[in-house]
Amino acid sequence: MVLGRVASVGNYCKKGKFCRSIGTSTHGRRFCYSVGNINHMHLRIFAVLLAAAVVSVSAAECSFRSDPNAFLERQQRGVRDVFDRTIRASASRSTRASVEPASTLPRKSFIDEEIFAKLSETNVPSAGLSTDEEFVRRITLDLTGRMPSPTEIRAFVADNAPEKREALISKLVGSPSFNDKWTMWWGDLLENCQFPALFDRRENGRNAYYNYIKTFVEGDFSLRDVVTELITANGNHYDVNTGASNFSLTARTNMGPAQDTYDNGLVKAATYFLGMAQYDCLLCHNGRGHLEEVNLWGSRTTRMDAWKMAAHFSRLNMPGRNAPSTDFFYQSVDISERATGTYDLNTTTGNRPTRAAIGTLRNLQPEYRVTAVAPTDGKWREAFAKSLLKDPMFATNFVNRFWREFFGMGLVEPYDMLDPDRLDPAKPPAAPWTLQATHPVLLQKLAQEFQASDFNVRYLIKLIVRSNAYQMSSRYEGKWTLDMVPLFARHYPRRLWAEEVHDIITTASGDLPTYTQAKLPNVRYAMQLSDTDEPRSNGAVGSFLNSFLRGNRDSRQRSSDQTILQRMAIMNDTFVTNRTRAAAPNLAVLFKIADNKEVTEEIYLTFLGRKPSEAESQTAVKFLSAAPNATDRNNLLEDLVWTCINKADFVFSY
Amino acid sequence: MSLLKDQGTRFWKRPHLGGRRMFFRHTAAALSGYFLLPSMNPMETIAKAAASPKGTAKNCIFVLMSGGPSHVDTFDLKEGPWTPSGFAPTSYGNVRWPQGLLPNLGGQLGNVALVRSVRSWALVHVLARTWMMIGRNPAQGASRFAPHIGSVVSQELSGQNPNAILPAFVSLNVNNGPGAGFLPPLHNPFYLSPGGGGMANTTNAAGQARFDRRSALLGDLEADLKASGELGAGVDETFAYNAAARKLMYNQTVSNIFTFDAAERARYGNTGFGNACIAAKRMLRANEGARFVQITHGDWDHHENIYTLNSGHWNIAKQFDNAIAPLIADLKNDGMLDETLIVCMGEFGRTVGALNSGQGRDHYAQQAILLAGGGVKGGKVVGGTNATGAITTETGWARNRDIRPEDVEATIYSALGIDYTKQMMDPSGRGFEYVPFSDRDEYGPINELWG
Repeated sequence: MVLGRVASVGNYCKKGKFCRSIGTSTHGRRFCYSVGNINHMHLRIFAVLLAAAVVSVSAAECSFRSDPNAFLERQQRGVRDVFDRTIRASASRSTRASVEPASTLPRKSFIDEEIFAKLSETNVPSAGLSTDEEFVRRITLDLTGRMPSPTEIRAFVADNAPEKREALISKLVGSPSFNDKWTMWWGDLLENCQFPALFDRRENGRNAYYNYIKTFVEGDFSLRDVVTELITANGNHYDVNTGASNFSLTARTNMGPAQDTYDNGLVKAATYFLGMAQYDCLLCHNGRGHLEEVNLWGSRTTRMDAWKMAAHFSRLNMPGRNAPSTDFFYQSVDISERATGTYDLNTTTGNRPTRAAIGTLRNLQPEYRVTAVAPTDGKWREAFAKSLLKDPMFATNFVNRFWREFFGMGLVEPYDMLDPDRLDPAKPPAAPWTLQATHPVLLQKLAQEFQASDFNVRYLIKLIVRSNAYQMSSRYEGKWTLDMVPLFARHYPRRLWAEEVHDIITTASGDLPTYTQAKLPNVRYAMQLSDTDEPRSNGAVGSFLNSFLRGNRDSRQRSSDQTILQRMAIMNDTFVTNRTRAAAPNLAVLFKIADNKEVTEEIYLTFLGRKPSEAESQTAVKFLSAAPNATDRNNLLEDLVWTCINKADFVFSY
Repeated sequence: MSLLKDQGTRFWKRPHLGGRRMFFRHTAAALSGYFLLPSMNPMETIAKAAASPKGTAKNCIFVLMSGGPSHVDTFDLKEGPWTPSGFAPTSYGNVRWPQGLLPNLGGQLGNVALVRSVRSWALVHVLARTWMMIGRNPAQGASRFAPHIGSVVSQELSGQNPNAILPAFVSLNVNNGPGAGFLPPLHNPFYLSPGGGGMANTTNAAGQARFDRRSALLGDLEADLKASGELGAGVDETFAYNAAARKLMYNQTVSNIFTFDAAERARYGNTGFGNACIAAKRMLRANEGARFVQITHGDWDHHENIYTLNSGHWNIAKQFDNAIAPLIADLKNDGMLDETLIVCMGEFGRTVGALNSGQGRDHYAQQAILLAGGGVKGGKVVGGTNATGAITTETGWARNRDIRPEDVEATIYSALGIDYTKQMMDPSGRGFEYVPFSDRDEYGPINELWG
């Protein structure tokens, strides 16, 4: 995203008023951020809270006052004001010191060394370590997509063992719910869906791919083996034994010559496995004259270079199987590798510009980037896989993706446009380019460590979450400025996935659904669904899940944006309100607790994964005490449960 | 910095903004809440050519005829031995119209323009549909975060009504699709499937009194977190979204817009599509913020048995006819038609001439679309095809070539007064053109529609 210069403290708008809300655009014009394309949502809450920020523009003139949300949504000024508010910690909730200088936090690995050293150098204090209560909820959600139970929370907090965090991590990694979550994650990455835009995978193919992914996730796999298999697998895409062949099928590009499919094979491999989606640009045109502001390596790379990479896929053979409509393999595709073939420069139609002969050069042999390694035998996809695994971008890409997953932001963003010419701290690019990573040395070290582990993903995950950098709290009680963001001075809360929200609500209420999916076993947790379009058997739940923006694993990525529809759903959708009723299995038990303070604590632990603060407890107890009889008490308890689900911290892992 | 000196320079050659931009590119909306960062300032226009948008429309209703309607059986009727007698082809001037199939719309031809020289780029449903909605090739690199046309409209126009309660971009009868892309999430489509009984999820199962009680409790319990903001902007946003959602709850204005009776539903054919047309009309009439309403209506994908009575093409065409005709008539009666651009378009057309072996028609690039209102001159035909409807023989407009989805996109922007040559910065640094290749003037509005 592009930024204007960081706004100064205040300025004069065209009306000649001085206002802290006004900044300068990059073009030197001065305008009140609140006029122009204003968002229309009116929020009194923010108007009240931030009224103090608006110094001398009257309410009638300043649409910030009438539209503070629009203002906030847009401009750094509003963000800065939010961050600059006076922080008062709730004493009973936070037992930790406020903002600690990074030098005081123990450094458990090179991750901490790099992160905390930079914080110290730049004199930016870090957040403190997360409390045990914060940690147990966060790590369980981040690793398994589920929340710990009240019993688990209490036990963890009470445990005195010095290595208890380590033990918990080891317990969670590889657990069944861990496997469910990471099966979903890999399904997202590999774009497993039934009907992407460019070809039909269909149900049987989706299932075969899902089963392949689930199987490798359940083992302590090396990514080297998995990626090799994905790139090289041959067989029928419906066949559960060759589910990995679905990767090659993902390259399929209808409405164009075969070269479009070969190109797309490269784009998919480069995006998923190398983080280099810029090949998609380069397969249409040279980098020069197009990518000078986008990607330094890209700007120096030619369409010919990209073609030579795509050529590795030019023996891919994917005819549809001629099976009758009653046969299981009806509409399936058989993936194989031809013994001969080249990447031919002879197209004038399709999805990409003309590929024309260059002098007498009419076709291309594969050549891997940088190394110029060419396959020695006829098996081009195998050669590609070998070269890809040696490509330093392979490890760099994945450590960046996993870092992003746990830290909320990659060491490089955008995470699919890694720039090979801007990653080596020993060879920084010429100005005005800068090194691409926030912590270039850390990125390199992580990549090396991942490679040294033989690309063991579980090891990488554990390495990341064991660090104190990850285990910092998200509560930051000092002055927070935007410059601190790339320093990872605190943990960043992440909005939960649709599936996580769903599963917390069902588990906490004790009202677990059963979803059917075609030709797959029934599931009871949304995290076990085979793609982001299920459950097709239950459109209402599908709608609820979609309001959390699961994406379609094709043209739309999963998003952690919030939307108004999402909040309306979590307030009123019967999926939620049915599970706040006293009759829900777990609530029927909880509501029997007679003491209001105790039941409040139990409800908080069950739905929010933490104890209430003293203030929250008092408020809730007062609320519940108003009940004159048991029925009314049940109603009030239902209200309390609903409230917990609707709290801001419910939908976040922090 | 004047933008004039860069006119004519390829957008990627314009001076970029230096180190700070690279530094903050990190903070791209990977973190929830951090879309608030200045990097998300899409108002940063980086180029404009000389454009003169018509600005005759205030709103747009975009009917997505999902599945690809047969153009030779709707807006570009081609008769042959295959034509069912029920079509009752009738001449209106030199326009042949399937009066038996689309009788009500036949009565509205004076208010509509038919464009027959349109050609899709792709024949695959999702690809071609997405292409229509984002106005560019979805399979190219930069389309990963390209916004829906409606989101661009929302971005441009939502500021005109700061007190509005409805989002500017509303999408009816689907619950997913291309969204705001890299634009702020507030410009995502607001999905609704109206049935005439109010807006979904604006009432709580516990009843209004208990809902108010719950909301009050929520406010009390959240007071500390709101005051401290200690979990950061991402979490704080939730309060904003909650408040916006609560504004729609138990809201009489909202309820009025989305409540309509059986008689009204019957007038529009008593179908989901009819209800959506009613809701669109009521939203625009209420002038509460909605400016671009997409209605998805399908399925027109008749590979088999296309002419079977009471099924397939007949049914969907009837639904279409029963709803669009009263929509146009009602808007006209309200004096709103001139300021409401209606676009009815599918993702492609269908094969021409004799039917296929399944008695249907398959995907085909040639297509015909219908426009009305928003300044578009009624009773008009733009472009024409050969005897079978297979190819364009008269383009009907100054650019003298097939009309493409990008041109329709430009037409919508122009009608709404939006500068369709605008380019803005996007996350990749490449730049986002409202209409692709606008610096080469490759696509543009169909100005002939305005007479």
